[in-house]
Amino acid sequence: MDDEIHIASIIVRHRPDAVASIDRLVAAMPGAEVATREAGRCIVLHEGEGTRDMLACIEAIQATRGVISASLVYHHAEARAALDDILQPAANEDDQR
Amino acid sequence: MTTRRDFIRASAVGAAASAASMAVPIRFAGAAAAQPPPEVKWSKAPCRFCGTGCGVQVAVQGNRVVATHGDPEAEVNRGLNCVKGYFLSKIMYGTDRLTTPLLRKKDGRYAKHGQFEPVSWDEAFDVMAAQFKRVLRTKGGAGIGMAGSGQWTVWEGYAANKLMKAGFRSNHIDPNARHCMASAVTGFMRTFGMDEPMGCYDDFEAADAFVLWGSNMAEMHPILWTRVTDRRLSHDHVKVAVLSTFEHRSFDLADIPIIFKPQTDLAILNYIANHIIQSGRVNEDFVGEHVRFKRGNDDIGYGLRPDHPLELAAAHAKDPTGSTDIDFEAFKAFVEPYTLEHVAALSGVEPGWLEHLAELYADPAVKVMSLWTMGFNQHTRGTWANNMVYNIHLLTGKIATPGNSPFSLTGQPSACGTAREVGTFAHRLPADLVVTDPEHRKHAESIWRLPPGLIVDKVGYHIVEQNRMLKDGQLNAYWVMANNNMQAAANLGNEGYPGYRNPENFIVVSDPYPTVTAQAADLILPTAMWVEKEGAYGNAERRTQFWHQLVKAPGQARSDLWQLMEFSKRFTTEECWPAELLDAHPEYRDKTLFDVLYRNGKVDRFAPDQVEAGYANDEAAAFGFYVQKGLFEEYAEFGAATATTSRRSTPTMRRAASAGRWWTARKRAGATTKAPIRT
Ligand code: SF4
Repeated sequence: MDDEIHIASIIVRHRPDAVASIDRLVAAMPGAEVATREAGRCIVLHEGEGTRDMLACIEAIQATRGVISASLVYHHAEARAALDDILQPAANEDDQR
Repeated sequence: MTTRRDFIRASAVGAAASAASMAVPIRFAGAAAAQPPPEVKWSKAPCRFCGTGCGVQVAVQGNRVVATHGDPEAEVNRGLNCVKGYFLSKIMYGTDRLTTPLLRKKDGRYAKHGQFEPVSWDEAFDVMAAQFKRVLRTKGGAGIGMAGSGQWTVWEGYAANKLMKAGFRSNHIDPNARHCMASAVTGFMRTFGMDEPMGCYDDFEAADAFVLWGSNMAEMHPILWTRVTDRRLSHDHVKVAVLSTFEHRSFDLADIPIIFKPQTDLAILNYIANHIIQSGRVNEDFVGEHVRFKRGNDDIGYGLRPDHPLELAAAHAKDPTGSTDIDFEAFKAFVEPYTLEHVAALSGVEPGWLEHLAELYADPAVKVMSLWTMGFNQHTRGTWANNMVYNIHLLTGKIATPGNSPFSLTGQPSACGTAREVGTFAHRLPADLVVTDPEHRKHAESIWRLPPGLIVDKVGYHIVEQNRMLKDGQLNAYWVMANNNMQAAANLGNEGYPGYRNPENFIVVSDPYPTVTAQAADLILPTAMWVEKEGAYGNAERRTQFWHQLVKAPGQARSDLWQLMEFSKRFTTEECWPAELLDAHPEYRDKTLFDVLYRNGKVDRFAPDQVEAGYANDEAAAFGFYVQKGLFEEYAEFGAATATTSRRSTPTMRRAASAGRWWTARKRAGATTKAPIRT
């Protein structure tokens, strides 16, 4: 494949006692972070080099004890070179806040 | 400052947060509010990977799908996608994608034992038409066959059905959906007289209990499983029972886990019926009003070749769906031996679990959804298993009301919408009509504006029989579309491969990728897929979902629809229809199959400018009319008129206000006719 970066978000539903194991797993996985969480669920954001990374991430989450489901929501593949293009200069962003 | 990366990351989190009804964290909120890159266009499409029928948003940039996310407004999946959905933006871009027709050649000419060489569409169709005509001259349509699919779009299946049944006068067209859905369909037909479900996905949020009969929903239907999970985890009274011959991921959520010995699910179903009767919980009003009792034939054989010793030894091999009328007392006596002790011993299941399971059905206060896939449908007695689960829903009247729903989950994106409703089967016509009924044939011929007596009155070869007939040299020109039957069908070594490589036969396979089926062919045609064409799929709850063409297919790849219609131009009615028929109806002389099937004043009546602005439509451009809309509107006539002409009134479809627009429909059929309970 071309030089692409894949960015995806995953909703994880889990039993309440699975928080610590999910955190441990995500901390050990390069490119993954817990974007936000509530009781019993969280959103994992993943950035990686391709299909394999992404699937490994979802599978590892799914295999974690206490995880009931891991559903992919958003997936984007983008040329690495284009990722740092500036969409909006800083000033506008301040305006919107 | 917001970079493209920030924006994409924020969009990903935003989409997930909205799907889960969670707040977007502050650190992503700024970037998410930035203007999206203007060169990216988002449109809707249904996922193409399974019968759940999730809605997705698809981002296109420069003729390439770059991103997808679950559509939060889609009622099926409410913003989620499963991991297979992840491949939506990858599936079209494999390095081995086929981009040109490939023909087996030796010394510059077609040769059965030659090597694949790239050829033009013209050369491909010239050779293919010559081969089909060779067969037409000797055997007529009886020597021509087609294997289709639940991955055809609705109009591809419809156009193929017309080309075969009316154009070539051959009923030897059957979809791969026969492998997975035959038991579900026959179960529906025997119990309800129509092939339509009596529930829908909204039942998930209304049910008090879910029973998985041979389905691993957690892995196979993950999005629907999410709905089961949400219901179970947010309502303490809700119970989940999982039945299987081995333990799998769905057991994680099981309150009633049941591992049974293979085949004893039938005994368990009879035990539940017995339990309902013995504990006095038959819904007598419902049964009195809606149910009659029948005893089905047993000893029905195994669907092998008719001269196989097992078939010869089976008393009812020739009439596997036959039955005789009985009454409630006879049914009661039939299930009486299936006591708790007896069935526990047979199945190897703890009696306590069996009792809990039976109570879910028997207790009138519990609304129960039964869910199944291949555990039932590819069972040695799959039709019985389907009939028997309906038995316990009918005995208790737990059917066709919110939350009470026996539900056959499906595998392919349009096994229901295309294969079943369009009737791309060896015995069927659109909207549950059948080729064996003279009224039904007449009705189809009249909608199609074709001469009466054109459609053949005999059931054609089903997909398993097709491989046998290829091997035996009865079927000699064969077109395979949108399926990988060499991989999927049983008996590859004895029937499938020898059939394809039989020197008398010419095999054509249309596919986006060089599957094993394609490699066993003589001609491979490169196919456009998913959003490379305009399409419509019908999912397991019979929701019909449309999408626009969003990108162009690579190289010379063309949609199945274009292939079917373009190929039909190479045949005249004289070459395909009997002389007597044309003598009686001379107005059909000197016409191509394209003229009579697709330029019939109906299919061609919408101009290409009716395609929604901003979207390409390669077929409309190629043929000069809005092909998809014309085909769909003609198909819709079957739904509108069937009720008055058919005993099995089954309006399987609703008219779309505009086929060019996103449109969904869902029906809930009431149990208004008497449904037989079968032993
Ligand atoms: S559940 Fe089926 S339709 Fe939904 S995203 Fe997964 S494969 Fe696609």
